[in-house]
Amino acid sequence: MAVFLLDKPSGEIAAELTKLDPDPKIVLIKDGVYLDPDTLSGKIYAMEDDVEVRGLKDRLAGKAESINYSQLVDLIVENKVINFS
Amino acid sequence: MATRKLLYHFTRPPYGNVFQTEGWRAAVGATAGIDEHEVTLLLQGDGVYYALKNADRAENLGYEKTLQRSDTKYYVVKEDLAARDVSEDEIADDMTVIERADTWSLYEEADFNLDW
Repeated sequence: MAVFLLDKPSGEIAAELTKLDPDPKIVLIKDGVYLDPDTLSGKIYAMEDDVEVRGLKDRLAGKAESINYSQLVDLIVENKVINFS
Repeated sequence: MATRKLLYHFTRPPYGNVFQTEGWRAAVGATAGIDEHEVTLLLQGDGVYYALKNADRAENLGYEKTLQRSDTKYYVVKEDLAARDVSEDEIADDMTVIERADTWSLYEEADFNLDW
């Protein structure tokens, strides 16, 4: 139902909330890209700039879909947003 | 613009940063505009420390008095209290303890949520 923006400091709280959504879309943003996608369920995206600058591209390959800010805007416009970033 | 339901959630510790105070200030702003939006406050994570009955809330007192006039509700997440070894006896009377599963309805009902 919603798109969740997950940064690291509140990521664990947000992750618990995503479990209450039957169809969550999760965007890992800023230090949120350090969160382990294997601990999350739903469609998972990661901000490509945040992933690349932290050297995490290989680690997140196949686990999170890389998106840019234009794609993030589309997700925000098309969905309800729950922001933890 | 019409009246909207706004959920302000606080996840950071209440002292040593500007987030709690700025969040409360922003909440007052939302209730005080022409549209008088309906605001709900949710304390979770380290934000629950604000709910301690002995916490010094003097800095936000003016904001809180304004919010009381619009029947703003304050919720604090039970699991996050327990994780910090805070008992419900230690919580201020104007706080309502809520299970995390029940916070989902707050998010569903809210038109927008803001993170502080």
